[in-house]
Amino acid sequence: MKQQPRRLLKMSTTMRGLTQRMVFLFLLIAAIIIMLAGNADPRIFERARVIVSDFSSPIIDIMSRPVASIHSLKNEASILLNIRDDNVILRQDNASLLQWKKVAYELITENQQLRALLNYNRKDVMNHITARIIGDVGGSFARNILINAGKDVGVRKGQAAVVGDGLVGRVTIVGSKSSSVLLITDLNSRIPVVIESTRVRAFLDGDNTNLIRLSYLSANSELAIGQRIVTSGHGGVFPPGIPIGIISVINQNGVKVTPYVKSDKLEYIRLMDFGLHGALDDSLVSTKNKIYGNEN
Amino acid sequence: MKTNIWSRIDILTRNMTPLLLTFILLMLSSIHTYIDNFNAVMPMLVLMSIYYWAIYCPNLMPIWMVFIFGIVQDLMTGSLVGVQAFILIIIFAFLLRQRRFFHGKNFEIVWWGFMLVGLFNAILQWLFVISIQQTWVSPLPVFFSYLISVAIFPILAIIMIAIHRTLPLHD
Repeated sequence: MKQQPRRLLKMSTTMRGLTQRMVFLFLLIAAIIIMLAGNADPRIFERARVIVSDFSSPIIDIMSRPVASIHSLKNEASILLNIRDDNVILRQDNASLLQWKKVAYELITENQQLRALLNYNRKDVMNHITARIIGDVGGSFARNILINAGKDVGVRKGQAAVVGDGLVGRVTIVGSKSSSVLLITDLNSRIPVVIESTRVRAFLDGDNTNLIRLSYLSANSELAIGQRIVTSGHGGVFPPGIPIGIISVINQNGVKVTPYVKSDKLEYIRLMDFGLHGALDDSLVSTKNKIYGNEN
Repeated sequence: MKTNIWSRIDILTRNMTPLLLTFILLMLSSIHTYIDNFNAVMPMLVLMSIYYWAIYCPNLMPIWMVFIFGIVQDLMTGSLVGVQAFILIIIFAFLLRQRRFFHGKNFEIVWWGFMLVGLFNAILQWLFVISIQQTWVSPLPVFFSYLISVAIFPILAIIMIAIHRTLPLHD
């Protein structure tokens, strides 16, 4: 009689173990299927990424506030401590910049006259959006940042993310209130560039490190440390001339560029809409959208 | 009757603490720290939580939730969806089988167990990345992330032990 409940208990434990194994196998297979599907077409999970981005951004934003406050306090303290030295440097800079201002005015006038002569219609920045960086979402193998601006304020996929010094990256995922920016240092970032002084074309390939590799250079490229790298405008993602960085390493392993901007210390970035669609426009990829003229 | 409902809500809320903590750690992994390259070496906070609860309270950390945490992590980081979910459920299933080994042992043994699990997680992550990208990717960021994780595990463990003590159902 006593053996009956014991047997039932044993049976229930066996059944529970079996169910656990089945669930484990089911989830393992599900993960593999998801990986294969995502690898075949990364766009499958784009909607899910947008939902997760919109859901997590307010939470990450709140969690980031104390860190942001500490960072601003540290900055304020540093500014106050260096106020005398900074003032001297700024006075010198001001004197030098006043001279450059004169040169700039002359160049603007000359440019306008030349453009008028050539009937040149430059597509300039159409829209500026300032956004706060709320998260670094990349982990060990990606360089992405999360910003608190989305579709609601006019953010679009492919917009260039810049700060005063230069290019930071480009918008890859757009939610309604948040967006994800792929940094120029990310492994998946490829940007067509030119060396400003020699006009030699190349590609800037991110490799998750702080130095970005310059590839597809022609054999007779005249390279020198300190040469400025700017976007070439090819591919239609970025307009030409956005500064990216300077050549800092030339050796047998290749040419490396130090970007002007380090996203780690940034608090705000500016998204610029140049009205370009480029390689990131889904409507150009999707035939269906193209036929029906749906450009969402 | 009223007390009964409130006590049930209390028990339910406390039972959900491990999941809530894992969720908070998942969000915390993505905050902007303003520290140079810190995000690349961000400790494996989610893994730490899953490791602890898989050993001491697996009934409060269902495997399907581990799967969801993995998927959400993949969606947030922009990596191939399913990779982290795959790694986490393998680790979780392994811990479920081996958890009795850690019961009643010193904290050093539990810490040593995390060192092995963390290393397995780091190696598997790196192998997935190089096989997907089909190019050489430095394992150094994930290795340093692993070292930092090992270093801060005891701190997080203190918090989790404190939470564990408040739970109504001790496994």
